[in-house]
Amino acid sequence: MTTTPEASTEAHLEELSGDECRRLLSLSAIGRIAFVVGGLPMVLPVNYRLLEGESGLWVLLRTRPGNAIDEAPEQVAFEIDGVEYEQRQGWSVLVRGVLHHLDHNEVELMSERFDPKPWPLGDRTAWLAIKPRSVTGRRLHGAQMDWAFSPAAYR
Amino acid sequence: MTPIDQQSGLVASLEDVPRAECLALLATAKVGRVGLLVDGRSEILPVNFALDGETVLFRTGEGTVLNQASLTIVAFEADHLDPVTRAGWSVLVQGTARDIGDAIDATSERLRQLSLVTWAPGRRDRWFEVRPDKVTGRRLRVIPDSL
Repeated sequence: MTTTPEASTEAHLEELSGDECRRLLSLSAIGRIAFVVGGLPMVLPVNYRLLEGESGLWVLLRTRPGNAIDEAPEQVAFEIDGVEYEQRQGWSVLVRGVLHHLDHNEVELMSERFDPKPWPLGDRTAWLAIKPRSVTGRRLHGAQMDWAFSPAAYR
Repeated sequence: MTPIDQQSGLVASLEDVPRAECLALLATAKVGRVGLLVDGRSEILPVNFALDGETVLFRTGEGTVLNQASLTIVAFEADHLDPVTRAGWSVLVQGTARDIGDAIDATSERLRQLSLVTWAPGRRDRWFEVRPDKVTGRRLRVIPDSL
């Protein structure tokens, strides 16, 4: 039998439900935030916590005042992803929304209940929260996981 | 640097990583994320990628809405962050993404060797390459305080 160079990829994308996206968001602690500053796109990893409250979902971030994330514009994208090698699947959740800076009162409220506890310590006292406009997710099944760049898949 | 644990005297350090080391770290990642502006909105998507020297290569799926003119400034990020050891790194590449088409001879040979994706016959893959203008990286370590 000849071994063909092509693995039977048979990869297929499964769209995740809102509940599943929220579940994945609640389980992870690291995501990546993307935004454009001065025409240059940035993607940076951040610690985060998912807040599910009366006002809906919020993605809470804590960062150092004045750093790139603290100076990001309103419109951001936020992503988490993971790989389950045994199950041969990958997943990705994409949040698109508006970045808010929290004021002192809001910080008091949040820090008691939800503190993202960022790893690099020091002066990380700027609190931000993303209010999602859309939350979508994909699971990729396949013998060979192969994420292709396809924004259309996330609409 | 601030002690993160007074009892064990551990210290978290965040250090910049030189460009050459950034690329070495990138080579160990399996998935990266592409960030760019599409129709005025920030997008960020995970991709499998290959590193060809300093050039990042990734495949686009069918129906991509990537700019047909295919000259787009993108960010490409990869990281390895371990929640248990609290150590890791993150690398950010910023550069121009260029559509290198679906008939890429010299490059396709390199791609096969890079084992990015096995090629299915007749598949119309479109490949993009990002030549970095800027490469930055950070390494996060938890190290013992002075002994």
